Amino acid sequence: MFKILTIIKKEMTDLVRDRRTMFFMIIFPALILPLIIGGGTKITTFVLKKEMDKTLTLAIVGEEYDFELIRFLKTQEKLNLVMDLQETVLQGNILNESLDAAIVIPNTVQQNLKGYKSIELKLYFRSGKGENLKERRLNEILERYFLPIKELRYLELKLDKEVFEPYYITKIDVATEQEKFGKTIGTFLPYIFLLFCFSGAMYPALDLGAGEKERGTLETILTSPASQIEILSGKFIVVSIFGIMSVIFGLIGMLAAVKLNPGIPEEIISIAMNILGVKPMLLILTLLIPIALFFASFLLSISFYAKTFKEAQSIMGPLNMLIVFPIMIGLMPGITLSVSTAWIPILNVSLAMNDIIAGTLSWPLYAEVMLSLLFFTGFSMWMSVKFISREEVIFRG
Amino acid sequence: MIDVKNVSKSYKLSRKQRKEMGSDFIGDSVLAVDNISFSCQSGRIFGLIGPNGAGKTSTLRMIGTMLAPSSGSILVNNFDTVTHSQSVKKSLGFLSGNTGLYDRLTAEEMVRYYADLHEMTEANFQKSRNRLFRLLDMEEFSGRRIGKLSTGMMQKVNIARTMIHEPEVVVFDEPTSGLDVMASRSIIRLIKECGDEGKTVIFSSHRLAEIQSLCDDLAIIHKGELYFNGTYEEFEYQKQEATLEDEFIRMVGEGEHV
Repeated sequence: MFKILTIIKKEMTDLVRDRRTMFFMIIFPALILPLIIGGGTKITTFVLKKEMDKTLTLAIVGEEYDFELIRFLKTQEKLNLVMDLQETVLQGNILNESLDAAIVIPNTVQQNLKGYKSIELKLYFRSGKGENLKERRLNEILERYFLPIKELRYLELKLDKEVFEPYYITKIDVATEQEKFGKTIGTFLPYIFLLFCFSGAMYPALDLGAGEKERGTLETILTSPASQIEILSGKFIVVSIFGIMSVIFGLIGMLAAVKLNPGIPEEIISIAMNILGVKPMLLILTLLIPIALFFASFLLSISFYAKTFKEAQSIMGPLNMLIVFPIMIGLMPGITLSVSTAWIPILNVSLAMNDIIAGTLSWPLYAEVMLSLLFFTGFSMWMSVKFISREEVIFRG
Repeated sequence: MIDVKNVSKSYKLSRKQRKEMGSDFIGDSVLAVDNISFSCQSGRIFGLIGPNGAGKTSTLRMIGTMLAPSSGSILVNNFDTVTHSQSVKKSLGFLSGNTGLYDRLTAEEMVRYYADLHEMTEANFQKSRNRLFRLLDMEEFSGRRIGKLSTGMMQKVNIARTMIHEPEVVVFDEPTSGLDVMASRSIIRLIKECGDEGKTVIFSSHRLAEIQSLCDDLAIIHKGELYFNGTYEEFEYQKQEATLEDEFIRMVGEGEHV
C-alpha cells in the first residue's frame, strides 16, 4: 500500500506540473461551460433582438380589395409595405431577399366579409434558419387584425363561441420545476460530464503509459521493488482522479456561469442551484468514480500498448466515438433508465445522471447501475492488468 | 552474485513482424537468447559484449526481472528472478543508456521517489543521499527540475537514482551510449567503484575500450549464443588477434564458437 501511495504522490506531482494536463483538467472544463452558457445566452438574446428589431418588407398584392387591412398594416411598427407588384414576381423577390414576405388579397374579400364566409389570404415567405421568426411576426400581426372581426361575427350572428369549440384543453403539468428544468438540462449535462471525465483522464493516461515508455522511465520503474500491480494501481488511481477532477472543475465553471450570468432568470438560478446541490452531486460522484476507473483502465491499456505517445494519441482520438455513441443514444427521445438500459455501461451513467438531475431517480435502478458499473469496471481493470502485464505489450516495439 | 543457467528467451512475432522477416523465415517466434550460462561474482566486473541484436539487452532485462526467461533460470543473490522477483529487485540497481528520468521532478524528488519505493528509512535515505550527492557533486542542482539539467547532470541523477538503496548487484545496459566523454567518465568511475566496494557488476557495452579497461570477466554474445565466457586473462591468453576489437570481429564475423 505504501508503494502505491508513493507512486500516486509522484504521479500527481509530475502531472500537476504538466501544463497540457492541467489545461485539459482545469482550464478547459472550468472555462468551456461558462463560455457555452454565458456566450450562448448572449448570442441568442442578441440574435433574437436583432431579428425582432428588423423592419420587415412586406409586399401586398390586391391592396385595393381590403383598405381596412392595409390601414391596419400601415399602423404597425417595423413594417415596410410595398404595393403594385404582380404575384408572379413575389417568389423571385423573396428568394433574392428584396422582400421578406408577401400577402395576396383576393378580390372576393368584401363579398365574403358580408356573407360571413372565410377569406383566403396567401402568405409568401421563405422557411429556414432565422426565417421562421419573420413568419411568426407576420402571423401575430394578422391574428391581431383577425380577432376583432371574428368577435364581431359572433356578436352579429348572436352565436355562442362554445358551439364552435366543443372541446378545449386545460393543461395541468404535474412535473416539478426541477423535473421540467432537470429533464431539459439533464440531457446535456451527463454528456458534458462524461466527456470531461474522459478527456480529463486521457492526457494523464497518455503520459503515464506511452509517455513513460517513450521516455524510458517505464523500464526503470519496472526494476524497482514496486510490483506491476502496484505500479498499475497507482496509475489507475491517478488517471481516475484526474478524470473526476475534470468534472468537478466543470461543475465549478457551471456554477460560476449560472451565478454570474445576468441573462439567466432568478427562478432558473434557484432551480439550477437545487439541482447542483450536495445530494445530487454526491450521487453523481458515486457514478463518476467507477466510470472514471473504467475509462482509466481502458485508456491505460491503449496507452501501454502504443509504442509512442503519438501512436497512443492516434488510437485514442477515434475511440472517443465509442464514448460519444452511448451518450448520444441517451439523448434520444424515449430512451430512459430501465432494467435493461441500466446494464449498458456509459449509457446507464448518462441516463442515471439525467434522473438524478431531474430528481426522478429510482433507487432499485440506481442499484442496478452501480452493480453493472462495479462489474464492468472490475472486469475492465482485471483485463487491463492482465493485458499490461504482458511482456510483449510493455516492450512492444 | 548472478547465476545464469541454460537461459533462453524467445519473442513471439506479430504478423507484421513475420512479414518483415522475409519469406525465408519459418515459425512464429524469434530466439533472442539461446541456452546461455554464465556467472558473475561479487567484487568482480562482468562485461557482456556483442553486436546489435546479439541478445545483450534481453539477457540484462531478464536479470533485471523485467523479462522472464522462456527456459532456464537466473539467480540473483540466490533468489530466482521469476519466483522471487521482489527480493531480486530489492538488491538490484539497473541503469541503461535508454533509462529515462521524469523531467518535471527535481533531482532531489527523483532520488527520493526511488528511495521511497525501496522503503528506505529517513535516516538511511539521508545518509545515502548525502554521500551520493557529495560524491557526484549534485548539491548545486538538487532542487532544479530534471528537464532543465544538462546531459551530464541528468546522468548523475540517474546514477544517484540507481545507487540510492545501495544495491548489492548492479546492472548496466550500454550505460554510456549516447553520452559525451564527461558523462561517460562518471559512469566508468561508478562501475569501478562498485567493483571495489564488493558489489556484483554486470555491464554491456559497444565500446570495447571500456570493456578492456574495466572487466574482470567477459562474455561475448552473438545471435543469442555465447561465443566466449571466462576471465579477461583467459580471453587474452586464447585470443588469436592482437586487439580485443580484432578478436571480437574475428569471432562474430567467422561465426565460430569459442
